[in-house]
Amino acid sequence: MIKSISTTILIAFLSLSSAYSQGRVTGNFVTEGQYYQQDSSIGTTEFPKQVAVQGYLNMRYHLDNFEFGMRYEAYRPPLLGIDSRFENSGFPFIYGTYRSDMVDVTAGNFYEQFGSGLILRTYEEKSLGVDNSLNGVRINLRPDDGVEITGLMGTMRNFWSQSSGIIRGAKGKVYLDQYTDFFGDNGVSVEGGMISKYEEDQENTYNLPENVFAYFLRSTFIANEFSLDAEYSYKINDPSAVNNFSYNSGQGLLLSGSYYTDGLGVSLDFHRSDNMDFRAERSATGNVMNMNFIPPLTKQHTYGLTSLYPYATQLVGEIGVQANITYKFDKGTTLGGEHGTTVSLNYSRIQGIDSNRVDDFTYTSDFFAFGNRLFYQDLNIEVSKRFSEDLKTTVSLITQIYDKDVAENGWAPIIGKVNSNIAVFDATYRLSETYALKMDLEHLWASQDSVLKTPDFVNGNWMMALFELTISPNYYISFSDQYNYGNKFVDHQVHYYSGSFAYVTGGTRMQMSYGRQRSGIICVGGVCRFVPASNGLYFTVSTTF
Amino acid sequence: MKKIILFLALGLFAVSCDIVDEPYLQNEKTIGDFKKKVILLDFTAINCVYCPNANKVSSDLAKAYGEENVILFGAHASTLADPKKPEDVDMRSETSAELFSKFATPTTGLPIGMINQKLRDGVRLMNFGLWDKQIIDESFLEPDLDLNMQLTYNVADSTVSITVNCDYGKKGSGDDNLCIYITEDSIVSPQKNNNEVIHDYVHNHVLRGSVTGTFGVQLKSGGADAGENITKEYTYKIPSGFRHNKLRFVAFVQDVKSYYIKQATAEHLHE
Repeated sequence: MIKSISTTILIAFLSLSSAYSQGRVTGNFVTEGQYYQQDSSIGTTEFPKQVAVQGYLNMRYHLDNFEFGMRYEAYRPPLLGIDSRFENSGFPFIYGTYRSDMVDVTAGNFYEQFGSGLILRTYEEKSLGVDNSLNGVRINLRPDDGVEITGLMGTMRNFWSQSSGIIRGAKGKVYLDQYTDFFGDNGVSVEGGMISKYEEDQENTYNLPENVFAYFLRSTFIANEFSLDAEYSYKINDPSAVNNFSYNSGQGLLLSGSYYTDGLGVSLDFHRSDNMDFRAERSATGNVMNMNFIPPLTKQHTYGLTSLYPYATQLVGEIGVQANITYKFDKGTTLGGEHGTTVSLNYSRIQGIDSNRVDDFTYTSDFFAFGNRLFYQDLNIEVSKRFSEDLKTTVSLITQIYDKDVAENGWAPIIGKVNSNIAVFDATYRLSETYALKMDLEHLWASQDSVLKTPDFVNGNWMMALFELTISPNYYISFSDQYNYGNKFVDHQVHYYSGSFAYVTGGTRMQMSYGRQRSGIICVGGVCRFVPASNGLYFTVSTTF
Repeated sequence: MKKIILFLALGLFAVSCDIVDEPYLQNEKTIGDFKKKVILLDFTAINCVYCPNANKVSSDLAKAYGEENVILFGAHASTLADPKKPEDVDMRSETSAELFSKFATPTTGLPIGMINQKLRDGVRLMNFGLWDKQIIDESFLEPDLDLNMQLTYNVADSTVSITVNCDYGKKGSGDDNLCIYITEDSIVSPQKNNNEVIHDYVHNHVLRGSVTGTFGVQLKSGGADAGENITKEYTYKIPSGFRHNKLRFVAFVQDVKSYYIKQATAEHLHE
């Protein structure tokens, strides 16, 4: 049925594209590939095919109130680190949408998010190998200026097939400030929604719920300088491979408050997640067929060595807080100097939830109690200062505690906690109107709880240097080296050198780089995947039209 | 407004839920009485990163249904089983290699297993998510024969006298082979697990070899008659390096053509 809808839309797309000259076509194209070389000194895995290439073409055709779109994907084979089940090519994403002032209707593939994503978030992130689009029908209604309603049903993409689970849901949002003067100039909204997933129980051991229901409620208050956001979610029992067939219900809570005024920004966040891993198939594991998402409560660091120990939200259960203060010292003050100085202080701490097992299938948990196990802690300060029109610098100091066994080893007691301290110095100097030189120097000191028995390519101290020359507006050239000089195993004290060249013109970017890529975890927005070590030539071309 | 109410009503109608109360496990009547024993052979390897997951599933199944009902073989095979470091214990065996060569291909991904070596819908090898259902299906079946095995261990010369009795009931049989395999428990050796190595991983049910050859010896030419009782006796010298108090002998009868295992029995070796 759904396949026939997709085929119909594809035919309609092609027909309309040729029949109507007044329509508009937009889209983008990305291809990336790598030639892999064996490099035993960094622990590369065998890759018999030597070359991996993957590419995507998005095309959208707009005509009056209609939009038709599709995406072609090819993985021949996927890059190392991307799930090998993607190896194939075809059109996994095809849709048609009708839009009017009051109603949008989409048939085919689509992405949707309810609230912050506590019960539903579908998205694509190619660098993670994630695409959990829905294939079905969605209706958006705007019956009034202050009201939005969405209803949907569909199945979820599972590489090149669809989930056996069927997802049905609805949500509504009301902007209360549109209907009453009670709130003055402030913005107030309430939002709620529900999801039900149907999946047949085909096994013989457990009594499994075939219809799993979840809901969320959210309220947002925005004043001139303040904002408050509260969101709660609940999921009925949903025994699955990920939660070891726990029959507990799931709960999620996000609380966020912020205050921004001239030069000062303060934000406080709290979140708790308990058994909220929600998937389109109960047997799925890894980054496969996730239906929901808990936003990360830790700072998403971007510098090279700061991402060595990144943290991903533990959907099965965690509780944490985060505080962030940013202050800009004005120009002309002692600390501000001639061009002003910005200081940002951030702290986050994530622990397990406090739970007591009742039997093999259930446990109790005090809602606001912190468990004993520390998953992650991060205290960091960042100072950005411009010394002149041409020289801009940033200094970051970071101290982290990272429970590697929780984050990477499925709780198996192998490494324990890793304590790391990181210093970053980043300076950009504009040599002329067209030339700018960036220098990034970093150092990481690290130690772990346990005595290392097994060699790896991560432990110990690191240093890093990166130099990047920008020739505006078209060229970028960079060289970098990350050196794991403190690895406890001497033959693993290796350099990860890399050189890169990029050319940008209009909406097109071409980049080629050569060098070593260390094994490790990469994260985008709190969702992470493991990338094995590699050495070789990498290229990418992307263009937008 | 009517449209909104209608839409919300449709949304509510579409959303349904099944809250499950105890018992969480299905009624035990859905599991057979295991008159016919089940052999779960798991192709595994020390350098296979997902094999510990499968090992846990097989161990849990044997515990849940009884180790005398679900008999495990951990067959270390494929190039992933090659020892890479001095501390790696070599758990490969000629039996495991011949089984892998027979039922898998060099590119077969591990972990993967067989339930009673049964060919179902053209598929014999299956991943661990499907083992439970197949075991339960087998547990309901009536066996073609009863199988008994007695072991007598002679410490002086490290030999084992093995007597196997095959009692075909009311039904006769076509050509069957008798196989006797040996497994060893509690072998400590490094095992890859996802991105790391578990240094002191305990390997159980490791398939060490066979008394009868990998594909067994014929019980009776032309097949057994209804009610026929066949007894076979063997003497086996335990190779050096095998710890006799960790060994288990498994006897099973399989169809010569299809390799389907019709009945099995297992005994630990006691002094």
